[in-house]
Amino acid sequence: MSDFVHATSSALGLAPIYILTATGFVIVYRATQVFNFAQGALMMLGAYFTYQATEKMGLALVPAIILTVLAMAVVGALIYQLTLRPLTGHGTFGLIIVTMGVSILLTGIVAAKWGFTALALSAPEPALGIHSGSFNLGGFDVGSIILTAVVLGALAAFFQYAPIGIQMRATAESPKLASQRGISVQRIYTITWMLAGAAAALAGAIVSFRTGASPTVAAIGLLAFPAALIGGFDSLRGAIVGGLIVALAQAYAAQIWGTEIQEAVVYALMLVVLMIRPYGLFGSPEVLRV
Amino acid sequence: MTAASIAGAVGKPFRRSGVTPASYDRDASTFATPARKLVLVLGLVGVYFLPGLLDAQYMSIANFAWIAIIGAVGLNLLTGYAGQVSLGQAAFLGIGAFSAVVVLKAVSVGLLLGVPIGGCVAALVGLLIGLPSLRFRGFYLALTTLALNFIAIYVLQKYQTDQNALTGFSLPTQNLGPFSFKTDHDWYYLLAVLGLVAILFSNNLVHSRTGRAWMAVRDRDIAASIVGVNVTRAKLSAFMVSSFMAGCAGALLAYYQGNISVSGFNLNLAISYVAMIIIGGLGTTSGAVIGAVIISALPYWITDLVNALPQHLSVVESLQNSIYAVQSGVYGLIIILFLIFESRGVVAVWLRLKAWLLLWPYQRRGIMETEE
Repeated sequence: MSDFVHATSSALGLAPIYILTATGFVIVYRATQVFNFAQGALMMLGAYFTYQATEKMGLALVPAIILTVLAMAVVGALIYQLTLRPLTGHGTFGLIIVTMGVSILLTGIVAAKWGFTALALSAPEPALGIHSGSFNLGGFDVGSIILTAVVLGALAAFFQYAPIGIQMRATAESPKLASQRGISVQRIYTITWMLAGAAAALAGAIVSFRTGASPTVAAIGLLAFPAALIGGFDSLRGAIVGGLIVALAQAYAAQIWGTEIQEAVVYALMLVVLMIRPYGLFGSPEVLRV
Repeated sequence: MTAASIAGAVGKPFRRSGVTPASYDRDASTFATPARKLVLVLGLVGVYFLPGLLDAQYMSIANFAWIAIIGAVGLNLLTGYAGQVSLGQAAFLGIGAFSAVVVLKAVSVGLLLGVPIGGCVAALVGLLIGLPSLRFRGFYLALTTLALNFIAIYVLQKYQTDQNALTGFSLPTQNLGPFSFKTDHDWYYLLAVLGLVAILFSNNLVHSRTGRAWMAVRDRDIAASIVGVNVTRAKLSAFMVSSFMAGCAGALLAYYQGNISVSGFNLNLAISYVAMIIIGGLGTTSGAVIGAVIISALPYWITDLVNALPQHLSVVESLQNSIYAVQSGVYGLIIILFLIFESRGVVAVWLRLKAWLLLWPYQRRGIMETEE
């Protein structure tokens, strides 16, 4: 029993990373129908930006995160303007491949700047940790859960009430009609990618505080694909539930069968969901017209 | 060889007027025109004499490129002709390679049994992985193959751990009848022959009933089913053929390298195969071949290029120090640039050049585009 409590607590620590990365996928997919393979690499870049801000520039925790978010928003906008905008009108496959290309390019840039070795952060752990029995949640973990909750709440409010958020929903619904109502679709897409970059920045910051910045961070981001798919690719609520499910499945699988199998279990779970509900738990079914 | 499949380029059985096939057999024939026969002969001569031009390092790259050609031509049949997106090619290579190891351990016969068995095992798994394609398309299918990729890799990892081979399996030198494959030079002709067989097979297949069924499914599967194409059969056969070729390539890779570990069959390998067929030109056999050569040799070309720069510049030194980063960056950049500026790949550059030459001296922008 205490093993499962322990596994649950470690899953809660992991969940914010998956939730934020899956949120990044969902934001981009809902607005532009692009499956962003670069989200993991963006998260890695966010982790290194956090390292740069705290260790090299000597910023405190909160300003470092804010600076990372702003920088990553710029990176997101650049990626859209330089790679995806010229490809407007291309098929889905080409758009997926171009995000893979961006992912490889970012890996190269990060390796050139920071090398291949993992870089640890020396930021002090905030005194927020919860320890009771075998339930162990570190200060960073509690902090990241609070941060994720606040950000997602703000994001939901943004989509619901803010003029730009409403414009984004309108554009997602029908780019043509939205543009006829005077919404600049290109601007909305740019903002979408800025939000995706910001989400990747937060996920990256959390990872870097937990385990340090390293090229393997991008691989963690890949597990956010099953998270987004299980929840439903076009649902923010789905991203939260999906992220939690993936983190819990991973932790329990590691507890029961060992760490080697955890990724396979997550993907197997994703296949089960695909077979039963291809559009995910909260997604809207895809209607195919002949 | 490479120009032989230009007719199949961009999936249209397009031929310039004046080369009108008078019979069905002629339309289906692979080397229908004198120009193509010439290309075939020149290509074979080039392949035969290539080892004389290469140094030791590029000999090994050439061998890896031949193996990549087999895998890429297979993936191109699946993605380029049958239109099924797959991120599972690395898993099929791994399955082929590990089957080769198992065969070698069980009956201590290498190449002769290992390669076909590796291909067949991969084809069976391919059939299994193809099943979701009956229900999903596009990205959902890509994610399904990605998931099965991870699961297959886990099984291989498990086997490797259970066999106490933490760093991988070592394989002895292979023999085939009187031939012994020790050096890169020995391997070159075997791999070249198998690679050419794969290219010929692919070229013939896409001119056959099966190939036309695949293209119909790719262009519109519902319409294809209405005109009587068995969509289930077309999709599954595409998955099986593609994974058979990847399995053979994986088994060859295991025997050629003499050492094989599951860590080599990661997602990056799967992406590199997708990059090969995209950069070369999706839906053309020649494109898959060109892409396989480019992606196989790219890291070495980049290294050579950096080393050829003036050495006294400080920027060159820093490039040399982080050469792996430079390779990765250029590789990503090439994928992006190709998609933005020529998403139909290297083959399309040739098609444009051909159109330009045919119209010379009356070429105008608009006319060149209508050629397609």
